[in-house]
Amino acid sequence: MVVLQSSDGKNFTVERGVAIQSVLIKNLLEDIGESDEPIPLPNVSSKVLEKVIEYCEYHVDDPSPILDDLDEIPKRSDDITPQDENYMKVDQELLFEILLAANYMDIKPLLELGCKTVANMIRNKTAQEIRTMFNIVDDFSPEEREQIKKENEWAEDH
Amino acid sequence: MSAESGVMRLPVEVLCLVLAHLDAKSLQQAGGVCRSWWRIVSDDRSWRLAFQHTFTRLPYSRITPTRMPSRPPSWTDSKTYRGTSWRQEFIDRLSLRRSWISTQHKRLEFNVRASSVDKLVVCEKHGWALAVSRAGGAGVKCLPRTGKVFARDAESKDIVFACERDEERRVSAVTTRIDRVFWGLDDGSTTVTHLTAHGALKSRVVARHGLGAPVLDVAGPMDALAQRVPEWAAVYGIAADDAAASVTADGRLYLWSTSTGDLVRVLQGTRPDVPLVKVTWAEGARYVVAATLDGRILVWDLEQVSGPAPAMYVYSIPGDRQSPVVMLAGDPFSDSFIVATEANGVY
Repeated sequence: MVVLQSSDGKNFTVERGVAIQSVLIKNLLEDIGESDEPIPLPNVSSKVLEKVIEYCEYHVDDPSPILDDLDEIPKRSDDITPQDENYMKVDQELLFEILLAANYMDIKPLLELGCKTVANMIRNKTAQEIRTMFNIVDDFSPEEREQIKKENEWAEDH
Repeated sequence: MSAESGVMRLPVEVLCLVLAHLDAKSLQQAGGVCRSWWRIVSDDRSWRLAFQHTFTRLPYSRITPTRMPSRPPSWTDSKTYRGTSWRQEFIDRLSLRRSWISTQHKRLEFNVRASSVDKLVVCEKHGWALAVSRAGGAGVKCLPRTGKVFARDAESKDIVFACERDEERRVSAVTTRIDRVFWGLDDGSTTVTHLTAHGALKSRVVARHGLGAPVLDVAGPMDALAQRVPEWAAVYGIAADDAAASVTADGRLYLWSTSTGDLVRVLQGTRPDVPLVKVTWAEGARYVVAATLDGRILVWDLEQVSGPAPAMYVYSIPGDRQSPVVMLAGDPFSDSFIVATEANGVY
């Protein structure tokens, strides 16, 4: 068993197989050996860590992907399993927190799932719709905006 | 900033991974969201990933010019920045794909008797495409970007390559090079239609085998032949880029000269009752490769055989003997050729 400690000091005890899906923790365990000491994760709150552990418990039996080839695998966003889709039904803030945690803890399948989910939210939306959805401030100058409009002209003859 | 949006807290590398899942149009829109997104979308690696996403893999060769951009893109010169960017490659490929679809569409408008486009060549140098239909017995020049058929006016009478047809003969095979079209007819003769020096259209029978067996496939002269000047061409007294081959339903392969129409060689396939269905060249003009209806590949080495010799090499497709070969293509970069059979196997 491995004990993980969230940023707000909460301890989570999980099986080793669940914990080592995080490459960060896997490397850590290999370096320090088995230990009963809790592993601190200062960047991850207990709310997010609980969610991340839920994912790792679901996927504990998945064959480990060949991580180095990730760039070469054709990217597809429509192959999310219903189970994963359900898992990702969270509010935006938590979704981004999970992405940050997956990135920090180096859990590639979860990171990939989160990226696909966000990409699916962005797809087929206009720039303005994306800004509204994510509450992003339009910080372009009028000149830059004009330039982008010109750049985008090719797409409009579809 | 407390009001900062959650998505803006994602590090750039994570945002890159997100945008990598987008298609070209969505990626373009994402670039217009804000400055930091624009910087990511401006990075050509984003386009490379998007390209992979849309076409599932990177291309064998690029269609955009291979020169390197003299300066990196910036606000001021991004309009002129084309170079080898994946963005440009992506846009060009999408246009090309659109043109294929619209070419077919325009083709139907142009000639209602045509059912489909069988061959399409795109001439990059002159910026037009030639679409040829077997059923329609005609080839038509069109713009590869838009698929628009060139207007027929006094200046360009050469827009259409039409096969001279009559009720007795039907076009059974067609192949094309950018400046000419070869028609195989079902009475065993072959016709080439090409442009004369004055731009007029000329059609003539170049090979008349007159054996009553339909021509099933034609391999036109390869552009590479002129450079190689293979020995056999000299031996048989024809110019190097002048050779064409056709195969017929009675299992014979004919080599002929496109300029004189003379029959140069007849090669016998396996059995007269097994039609040869496809033909192509390999290694310049040294080898001629044919495929049979029962799924065998025959190879003749023209430097070594003489007379109506049987094939030098016979390859059987393992476990697929009865499946007709539907596609045959030589791979100029390796010593292999690619075969596709009706049973969906590719070798």
